[in-house]
Amino acid sequence: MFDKIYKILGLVRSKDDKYSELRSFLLFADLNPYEMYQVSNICHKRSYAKNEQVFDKGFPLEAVFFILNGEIELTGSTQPGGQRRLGKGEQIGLIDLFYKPIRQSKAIAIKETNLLAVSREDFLDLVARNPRLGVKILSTCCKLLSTHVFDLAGTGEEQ
Amino acid sequence: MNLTKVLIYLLFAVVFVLGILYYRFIFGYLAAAIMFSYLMDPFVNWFERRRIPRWLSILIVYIMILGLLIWFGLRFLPTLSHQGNSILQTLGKDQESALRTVLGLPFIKNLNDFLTNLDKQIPHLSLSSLFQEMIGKGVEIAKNLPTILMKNFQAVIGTLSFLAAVPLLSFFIIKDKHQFRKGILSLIPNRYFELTLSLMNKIDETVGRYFRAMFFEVIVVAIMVSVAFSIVGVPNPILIGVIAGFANIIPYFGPASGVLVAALTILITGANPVLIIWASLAMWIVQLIDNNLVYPVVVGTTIRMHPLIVLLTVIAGGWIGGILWMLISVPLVYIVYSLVRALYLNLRSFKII
Repeated sequence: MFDKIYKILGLVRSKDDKYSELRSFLLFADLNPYEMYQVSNICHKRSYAKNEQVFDKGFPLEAVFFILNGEIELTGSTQPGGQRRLGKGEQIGLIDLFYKPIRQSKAIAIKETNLLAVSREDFLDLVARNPRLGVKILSTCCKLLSTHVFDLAGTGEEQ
Repeated sequence: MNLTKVLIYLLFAVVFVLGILYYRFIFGYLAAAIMFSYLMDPFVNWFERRRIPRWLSILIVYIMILGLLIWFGLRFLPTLSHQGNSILQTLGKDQESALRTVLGLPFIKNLNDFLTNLDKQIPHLSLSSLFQEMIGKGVEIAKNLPTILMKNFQAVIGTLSFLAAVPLLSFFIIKDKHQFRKGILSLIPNRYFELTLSLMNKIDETVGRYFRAMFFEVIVVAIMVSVAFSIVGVPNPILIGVIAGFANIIPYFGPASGVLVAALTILITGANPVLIIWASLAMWIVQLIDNNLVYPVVVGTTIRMHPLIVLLTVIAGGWIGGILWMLISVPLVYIVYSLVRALYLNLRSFKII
């Protein structure tokens, strides 16, 4: 009976598989179901063919992409070693987002790829309006950022 | 392209055109519903952030608005209609006596005497009869106003059904806002995806901001003007306040027309003409508060348009569809202008043109 009531009211009783795709990303991993619902509201699924360009260097940054499956190649000076391949569970544009809203690198799909796109404004708006959700997301952002910095430093030593 | 493709595209085109023809009457409803949704959206979001399901949030907001409307209706409508009636009553008598009443008003009487005097001094001038004829025409138009409203009974019923349908349409627009956005974006090719995303955000921001700004400005200015004018002692302050609130949508000229209406009322009701100066002063203070406190908080940025362009826009709006279009013309033109500008800039930066 409770299931029916929950269903009619549109409430989520417990974690279910509805947001499993979102949960596979580090950024959204520890959000509660309601926060997941908020994030899923602003997610847009995009699919790219092999060798299709996702964006070019110098384009305005309007969306952050999360890779559902496939592979994306990024080329630009902010990437460790100037070039990097990203796969399932990784995100594109999150670091550029906090720099300035212009793409610092070029992205091309290496094979058939499905991405989740989140608008920059929606993303920042979500973080600003929901402090608890915002802290969770931003602290994961910091984690990713520091990993990226160490990556860059590591490659710098090798060269 | 081969024949099959052409035929199929042709079929799509035919279906599309037929669809538009079939639904052509509801575009007005839809536009109003979208406008209403923009007004309600922030409130619904506020409730939704407090973990209330979206549909329930909408219902709560609706009930609150209904309550507010009923309270407003019970509290202010009788006063409003009384103040409107007292003006209509002055004008509503038969033509001759109405003319005599108007000519008997202190200010107009003075003016008439002055003109008659002038006629005596300067031969062949006859300004006085011209003046009387002019006033007579004005009275006639004002007198016929209620009759015009009664004759358009059908239109009144149409308006009522319109008012009932709009909240219902808005309910679904607000509830499934994200689904609609997703649906539209899923149709966009990858090349234009980020461009469309940015444009949609821009539309959301600009349109939403101006609808909300207009709405709040009307209410706040109407209240402030009503209070200010009742303190000063202008007759029919609430009626003039509501008129001034609506007129305030037009930058530069709106506030002036509010004072104009107040001045006319003061002259017609035969109050002391010195009140006009006090009314102008009151209006100036209201504008000071509005421009420095209310507007920056509600809207943030001002409509930056040259007064000449504003004037031309308002006149053009008047030619299209009367007072309603005069009121919405300036925000409409400004929104279209800023969207076209955003589109152009985005097309350039995404290297599409």
